[in-house]
This record gives sequence, C-alpha cells and structure tokens, in this order.
Amino acid sequence: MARKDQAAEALQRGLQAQTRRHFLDTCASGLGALFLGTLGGVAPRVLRAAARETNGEAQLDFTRDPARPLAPLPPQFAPKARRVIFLHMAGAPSQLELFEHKPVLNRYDGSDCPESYLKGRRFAFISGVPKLLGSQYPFHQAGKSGQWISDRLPYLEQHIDDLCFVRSMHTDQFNHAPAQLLVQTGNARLGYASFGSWVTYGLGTENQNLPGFIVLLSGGKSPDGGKQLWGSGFLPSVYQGVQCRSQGEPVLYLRNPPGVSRPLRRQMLDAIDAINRETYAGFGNPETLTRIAQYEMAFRMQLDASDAMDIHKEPAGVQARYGVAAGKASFANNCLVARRLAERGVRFIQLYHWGWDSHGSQESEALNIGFKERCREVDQPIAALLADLRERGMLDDTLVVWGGEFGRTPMRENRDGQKMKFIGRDHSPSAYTMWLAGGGVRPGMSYGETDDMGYEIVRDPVEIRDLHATMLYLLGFDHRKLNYSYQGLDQKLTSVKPARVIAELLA
Amino acid sequence: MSDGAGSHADSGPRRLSARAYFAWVAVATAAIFGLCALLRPSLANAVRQTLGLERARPQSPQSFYAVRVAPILESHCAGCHGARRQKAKLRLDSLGAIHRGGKHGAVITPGDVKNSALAQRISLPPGSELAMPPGSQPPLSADDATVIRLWIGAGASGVQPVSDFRTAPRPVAQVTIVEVDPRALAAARSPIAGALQALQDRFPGVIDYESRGSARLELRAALLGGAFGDRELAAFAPVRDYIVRADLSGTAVGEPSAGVITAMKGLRVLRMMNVRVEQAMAAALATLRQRGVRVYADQAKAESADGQR
Repeated sequence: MARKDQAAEALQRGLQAQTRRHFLDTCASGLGALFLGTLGGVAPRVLRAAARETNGEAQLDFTRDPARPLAPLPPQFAPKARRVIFLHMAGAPSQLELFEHKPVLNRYDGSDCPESYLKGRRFAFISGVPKLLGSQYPFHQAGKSGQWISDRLPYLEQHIDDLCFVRSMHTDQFNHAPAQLLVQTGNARLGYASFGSWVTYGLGTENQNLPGFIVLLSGGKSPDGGKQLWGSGFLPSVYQGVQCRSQGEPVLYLRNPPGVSRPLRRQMLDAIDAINRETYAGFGNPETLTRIAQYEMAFRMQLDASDAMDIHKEPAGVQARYGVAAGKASFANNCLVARRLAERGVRFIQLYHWGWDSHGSQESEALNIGFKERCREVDQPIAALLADLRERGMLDDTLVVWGGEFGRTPMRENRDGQKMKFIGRDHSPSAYTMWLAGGGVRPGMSYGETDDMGYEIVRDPVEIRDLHATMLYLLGFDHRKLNYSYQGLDQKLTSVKPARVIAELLA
Repeated sequence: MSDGAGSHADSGPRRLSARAYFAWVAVATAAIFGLCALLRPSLANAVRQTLGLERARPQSPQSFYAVRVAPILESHCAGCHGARRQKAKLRLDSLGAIHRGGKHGAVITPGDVKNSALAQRISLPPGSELAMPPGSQPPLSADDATVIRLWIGAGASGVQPVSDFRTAPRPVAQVTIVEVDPRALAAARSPIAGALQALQDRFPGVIDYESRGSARLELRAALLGGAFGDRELAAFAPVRDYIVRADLSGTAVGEPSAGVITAMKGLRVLRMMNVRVEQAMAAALATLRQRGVRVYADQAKAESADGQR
C-alpha cells in the first residue's frame, strides 16, 4: 500500500517537473512519429538515411553507447597525430623578443612610429604617436635549419630542427579573453566547443579511467577566457576539459571523505545510478546519461588520476631534466604531468601558463624583467617534454603546439601617451608566431613572413581556422566532416568561413 | 625610276644605278625590320616560330622542371602568362615559352640567376612595384621561389632529373581526402570482421581500425599494462596480418611473443617501452627494424621507471 502511494507521488512529482519545454520537445517528435507510423515501414528508413546526410553529402557517425561516451572511435582517415599537447602562453608572448629577428626595426629603435601603422587601428593602450622599439634581446641562427631565435630560450634551441614555425598567424581580436576563445574554440564569442572537446568528441579517448581532455594551469592566474576555453559549448558536456591541479590533490573532491570506504562509495553510486536511470527513462535527456558516466569515471579516476598526476614517481633524473619544483603549481610540473598523461592514453592535454602580457606597466610585465622570468619558466620544461616524447617514440604521433592569442606591437607601449618606467609592447593582432612539433608536422621550417618591423604579414597569412583545419587533418579529420548538428547548422570548429589545410606544414 | 636617275646624270659626283638603289632600299628595309625585331623580341620570336627556326627543347616527364617548376608557374603565373592571357606577350606555361621570353625580351638567362628577370621579380618583397605576382595576388612561398632560382641557376633544362637538385626544398605534401567506397571497404574488412568483433568484445578499446576508411588495425595493448601477456597477444593471431601499429609498452609480453610479433607482416610501428627484451625478442626487433618497421623499445628504462599501471 505504502509502495503504491510512493509510486503515485513519484508520478505526481514527475508531472510537476514537466515544463512547457518538455511538451514542445516531445510533441514535435510525437506528432512526427504518429505521421511516420501511418506511412508503414518505409519512412523510418528514409528518416535514418536522411539523418546521415546533409545536402547529399554523407556525414560521419559519432553515436556511441551512452554508457561509454568517451569510447575511442577511429578517425576519418589514417592520422599522423594521435594526441595533442597544447601549450598556451596566456597573455600573448612577444614574437619580437623570441623568434622574429627584425634588424630594420632594431635600426629604427626610438624613432617615431610611422603614421601608417596607427591609422585606423585600435590599440588596447597605445595612444598618440609611440616610438618604435627594437628587440630587447640578441638573435642568432641555430640548428641545421638555421632559423632565427633570441638568446632567451637556450634549451628549446636544442630542438629548433624539430620545430615548425608559423610566423604569419593572424587574429581579429585584440583583447585577451575573446582572442583566447578564438584560438581555443574557433569563435571569439562564448558558447562554442573548444578544440579539445571537438577532438575528444571525434576520437574519444584511449584510457577510460582518465578524462579524455585534461587542462593544467600555471603562472599564478587563470587565463582571461575562463573555463569557457575548455568548455564543450553545444557538444555534450562529457566532452568538456577537466581541470586538474598539479599541486595537492589533482582533482578536488575526488578522494573519499574520512569514514567512506571504496565499497561504500560504490553502493552510493549504484543508488544514484538507479535514480538517474529512472529520470532518464522519464525525460530522455542525454545529459542525464552524461552525469551517470561522469560519476562512474570519477570512481575509476580515484585510483588512476592520482597515480598519473604523481610526478614524484618519476626518477630523480627525469624530474631534474624538467626542473620540477616540488609542491608548487609550476609549468615544469605540468609539462611532466602532460607527458605522463600522454603515455596513459589521454587524448588532449592543454597547458596554460599565464604571465606573458608584457605591457611594461609593472615589473612582472616588463620585457626586460618579468618576461625573462617567463622564458626561464617555460624553456627547460618544454625542451624536456620534447626530448622525453622523442625518446619514448611518442613525438611521431603527438602534436605539440605552442603559442599565445596574438602578438605584440613593434612600438613601445606609451600608456596615456606617457613614457613608461618599464619596457613593454601593446597587443598586436595583425601578426604573431606560433610553433608546432611532432605529429606529422614538417620539422625545421618556417612558414609565412612579416614585414621588416614584424607588424604586418607579407607572405602566407594563416588564420586560426586554417591552423585548426591543419591540426584536425593531422588527427585524421577533414574539418568539414567533424561536425555537430545544432541550431539548424552543422557546427564546426572552423566555423562557416572557408578554412584551408596548410599543406606546407605537413611532413 | 631609272629615268629619274638618268635626269640627274651630271648633278652629283656619284651616280646611283637603279640596281644599287634597289639594293639600298632592300638593305634599309631589312635593317629596320631587324631593328624592330630586336626591340620587340616577341616579333622575332613569332618570326622564328613561324619559320620553324626554334630549337626544340628536350623534355622528360620526370625532370625537375616537370615535377617541381611547372606546377608552381602553373598555379601562380599562368593566369596572366598562359593560354588565356599573355600579359607582356609572355607565357610561362611551357618550357619553350619560358626560354622565348616576352615583349621585353628574355625572362631567364640559363645558369645566371642574377640576370634572369623571372628569378629576380619573384624574389622582390611582395607588394613592391616590380614584384611578381603583382598587387594583391598571393606571392610565391619562399620555398617555391628557391625552387625556381635553383632551376634557372642549373641551366633551366627540361630534362635534368629531380635527383640533381639535392639542395632543393622538399616538395609540399599533398592534402588529399579520399572518398571511401563503402562496398570496397566492407569487402576489404570482411576476412577479419568476425574475429575483430570477438576481440573487441574481449578487450574493449584495445584494437580497432586505423581509420574509418581502412581495414588496417591498431593494437593498443599498453592500456592493459601487466594484464596483457603472451597468452593475450596470441589471441590476436587471426587478425595479425592487418595490424599496422602495435603498442605493447608496459605489457607483460615476453620471449614466446617474439614469433607472433615478427609474423605481423603489415607492421609499420611497434612501441615496446618498459618491456624486458631478451634474446629471442631482441632478435625479433632487429628483424623488424631491418624490414623498415619503426621500433621504439628501451630495456634500460624497464628497471628504473615506475612504468606500472
């Protein structure tokens, strides 16, 4: 009797929880189903066939068992890269102090900026007529490829013949948050799926005991773009990036609280699972399945994540090679974690290192002070990461990407038209440098060229969507085919504008 | 005319005979024509071409010109200097035409890059007045310009093989996305489809096709670590010919698996990090390396690294 009451009450509650949205959602498909039912057996087949085609073009099928949303799926064609390590230098490092050797700019150091550089431009801080600013550090050619590099990255320089520089990156955003969103989601506005989410959606992940897309932060500050940078946008939320910490517990609230044993946790999860399945049966919202899968993954991660994140399990020699700082959230620690995660079959590993916004407004943002520190923080760990991947036979199928969200001006920043105490440069979206390595990228080359001041692109401009298309190609996808139907559009990482795979960058 | 010549019989020290007069006129006409031809090379070219005086240039389809140079000129130059339009009366869409030059004369001096307008003008900073391609047209990439300069420097020949140009930048990779024929794919996969399904059920996530369009397989046994050993690897025998990539890192495979691995005849990449490699396996790996398989193994690491999952 009591049971019957409970059931009645549950039904009552369920009806109360129904909203106008549910009605609208279901009535369309409900009426559609009624109509199709009248057509006999032919219609459903037609419907299914139509679902896999857009404008007569066959679409890739990404449906999976809802209980295993991260199950690996083969790419469209044979890939060169099987995983990505993206080193995002948040704040936008100066290309003119690292990779862009511009002797002509050095010659004009201190002279007034030509008017043509200012006309019709918007700057974050520069006002009036700023002075041109030569590179603060000497350059030299390095490696067999003879590419130019400044004296700030002596460790990375050892790998210069592995690097593929794109010197003609272009963006249309000149503020950090939208520019970072554009780099990571292909769109400067909120609500789009990040690169890592797309890749995890398209390929799943090999290790089902770890998230497929992991984010690690360092530099003392989160990137301006916030958690949207690793958000899944319109893709199911199971594909969003999981932020882990390289200090203390890797994933907060993952460990069982005192007094809760693993079997007890299992029992609890089973109960939650049963309730969630009932909800799913009632509403059919796929996000409910996502939640179930997330609980289960968290349970499996309790064992595997802490092991993967524990860099102290590495031999002392390896730790020293990266320059690991015990007990701190450092970029070096994160690089070593990245290598451990890559080895364990994590698909997309995203590192953010904040602190490259060298305006010169304070010591930490000065090209002649703070910038030096940033270089020192990333130089040795990146070199160690590349060397480690190579030794383990993983550089061949791991795509490593380095870069910021825009470049910096060849003019010295003059905030409020004043000469500033420290040396700095303003944001410059018109041209900047990124590099790629491993994963089917052509090593030891430079692509694109800027003018004598490093301000405008004169040869082979590369839009961010071109870079995305190229990276997806290396991962085994035609960027047009990795899509997701949402709001009446086959949404893509590369948006609706034409993007090209840059063949010159391919090995 | 001869009358006229006669009437001036005693007016000057010299008399011009009719024959001499005609001869002079003929010479003068020829000289003017010649001058015109010199000043307008296109005319000379046209004359030489129509008279069949032009030297035929030997060409081979495997030459550096055909493989590397012609495609660059075709994509960047032939729009204005080709079959459709001939700006400056210049065509760059055939070997003969390139050597012939245009309205302003030769565009290449074989063996002399400095005196070859073609080499110079594609090397100017993009956007400058004389730079080619002009205006808003995308400039040649640095590599493409190098290819053309090398070719002119080596004599602008139509037969010199690609192998003669060791310093040439590597050609750009081809971006090709092949449409999959579902029927052919199903046929290619059919011999292993059943066995693969059974293996996928037994070892989820460990084996799958390399891509959606391929019947080749990838083995990712490293995921199972120590739980994957010789017995498990032996289970993959029915599909072994299709395995192109195998990651056995950190697994417990040992000596008995040496033969199984060498029998994977399509193998291209083998990872065996953190696996103890002894005699038979070491020999197997050597065989594989000889076959051109990329082998990544590091026995020394097995003892020092934690490696266990």
